[in-house]
Amino acid sequence: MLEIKDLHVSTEGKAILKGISLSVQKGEIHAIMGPNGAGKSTLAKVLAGHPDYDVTKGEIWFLGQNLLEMEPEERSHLGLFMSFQYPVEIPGVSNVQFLHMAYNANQKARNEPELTLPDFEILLKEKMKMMEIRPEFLERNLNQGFSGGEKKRNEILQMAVLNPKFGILDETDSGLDIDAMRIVAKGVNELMNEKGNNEVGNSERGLILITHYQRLLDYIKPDFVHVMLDGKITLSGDASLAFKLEEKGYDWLIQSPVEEIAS
Amino acid sequence: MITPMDEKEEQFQKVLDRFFNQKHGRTPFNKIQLKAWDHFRGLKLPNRKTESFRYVPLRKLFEKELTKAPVVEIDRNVVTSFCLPECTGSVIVLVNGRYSKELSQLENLPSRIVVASLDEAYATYSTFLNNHFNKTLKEECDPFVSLNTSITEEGVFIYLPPKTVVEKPIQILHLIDTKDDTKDQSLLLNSLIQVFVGSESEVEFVSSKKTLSGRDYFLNDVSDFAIDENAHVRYNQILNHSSDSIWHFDATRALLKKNSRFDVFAVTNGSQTVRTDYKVTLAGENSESALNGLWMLEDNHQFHTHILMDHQAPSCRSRQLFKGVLDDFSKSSFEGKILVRQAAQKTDAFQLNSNLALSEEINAYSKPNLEIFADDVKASHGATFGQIDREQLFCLKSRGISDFEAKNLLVKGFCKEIVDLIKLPSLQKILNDQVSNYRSRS
Repeated sequence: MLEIKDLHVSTEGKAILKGISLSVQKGEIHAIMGPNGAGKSTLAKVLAGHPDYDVTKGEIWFLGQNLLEMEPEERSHLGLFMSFQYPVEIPGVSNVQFLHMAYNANQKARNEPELTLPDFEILLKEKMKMMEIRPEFLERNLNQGFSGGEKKRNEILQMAVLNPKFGILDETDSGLDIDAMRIVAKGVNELMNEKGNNEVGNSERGLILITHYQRLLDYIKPDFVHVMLDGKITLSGDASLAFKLEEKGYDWLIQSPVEEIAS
Repeated sequence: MITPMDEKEEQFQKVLDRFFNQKHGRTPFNKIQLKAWDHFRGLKLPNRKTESFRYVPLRKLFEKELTKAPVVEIDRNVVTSFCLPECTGSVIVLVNGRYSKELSQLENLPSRIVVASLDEAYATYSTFLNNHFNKTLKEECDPFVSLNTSITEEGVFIYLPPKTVVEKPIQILHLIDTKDDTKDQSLLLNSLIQVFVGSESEVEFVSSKKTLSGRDYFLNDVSDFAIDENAHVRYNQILNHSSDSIWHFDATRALLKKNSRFDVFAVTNGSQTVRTDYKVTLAGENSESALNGLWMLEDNHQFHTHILMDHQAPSCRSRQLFKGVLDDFSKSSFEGKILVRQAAQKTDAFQLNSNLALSEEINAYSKPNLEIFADDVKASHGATFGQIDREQLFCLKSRGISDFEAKNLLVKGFCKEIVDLIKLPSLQKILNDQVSNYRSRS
């Protein structure tokens, strides 16, 4: 459902991604791991359509459509969702106001019925319960004064409300304690396994998990693990690769990846 | 050929001379007006070098051939349709700047409140009024305020005796019906509202304008509050205009005695030029004032504000929060000063002007000032200028919200801090609608 072909990206004249190719099919969970500065977050932002990055070469196709020609909101309407590594705070905009607006904007774009605020709140409260988020959160300003864990949980709540076909979680696990991680993982797993409304059914969704650590992968089982180094995917494997990385770090890959793979 | 500025100023002064000479010096108030006129002539009209009018396009004002506003008849039902639901039976009406006893609806006000025209009030309160004017006239620095005092007709006198707590807010409704003004013949509408609030009294005012006809006039409004010990006054100013060619100067003066409080909430969409001028004098110990303003400008509208927060007594608190949103080619200026006099120890003063620019073509000037002569003072001031935050915009768009809606939501968020301070539900709705409709054309 997502096809990235030889993607080159730069920002402010500096090359960050240097030829990424990745294919994600329906029902698959891909984990992307790698050290700081490898370009993982850049990949996530480019997929979501952040305006600060220039795609100098390559293509991204999502559900048969050319993603690079689309505005961020159009990508969302098509069913793409990125969870921010650093969720932004928006003063003066309440969570419920934001979520209601986002929900209806997506419904409208998909020619599906919009919900009035009271009806939406019923749906929202159910999702909040799943994410173990306190009710008073609704009236608070978006992410303002939230702890790191609350912000990340809020990202997954947004995903649950918007019910996307494809999720990109950018280091959703960083800064989470073990309980928060369990809650986030539960949210993600429920979404991946949930019988979606209308067209999205079981294992119809795709997911990219960007993470530093293997920890999250104890809770969300990936089908594939990719290692990203200096703007390229240098190694791909199954879930066992994550354990190897956890044990050995990334240095061995930077020093002599080819020999190591050969062995 | 372009007429030199001095010449324009001179012509304009001649126009104003005519206004003054039309008045007949018979009433007791006229004596005060004569003094005000002398003071006005001493202050002189502002020019480009006058700091407090620096960004105001005075040339355009001085070109105007001003004439006196007509006395018009207005149907009572018209007034009712403009009343805020919270203010029924509590509405003071001015028509073209003059107090209208006939149209005012005062039946729900406590009977002890006195509402009258200034001339009428002189019959009973002459000592009181003379004392007040003799003190304030000399200190006035804004020539348009002195001009207002000197030529005003049928000013409003409001007196709350001590311990008068007014449950209903009082609406001050300015009706404007200029019939056939033209670009060459603009009307000068001058209003003066003189409020005396007795000790331990509490009152809230909502001032708003409704234009029945006319699009090219100059409003020169003054509201003056003398607030006695332990009294509280809230003052909401809706300074919105329906036309692009209006000039509006609106000055607020407040004198606060011990433990009293004065809060202002002002909102405007600007016009050719809207300018507010505040002078708040914290004369009594432990008095407190908060001034809040919001402007949302489009097209080539302008808004300017000038503030003097004068801390004269110890342990007073003041807070100024002024936020501006500017789109298209609009222009604004903020000049605010916190003056802390030597006696005003333990002052706590704050001042902030934040500006949000939605277009590359706007101009926003900001000059926050502190002048402190006391040594035990907490004071801070600041100004910010920003555009829509790219990361915030991206966050909203990535959740499916369109560029237009996302920007509107961020503008709303920026304004919310001020809108939330408004207590009256119907007024808050008006403001929310105004914020929602801002940029709705583009």
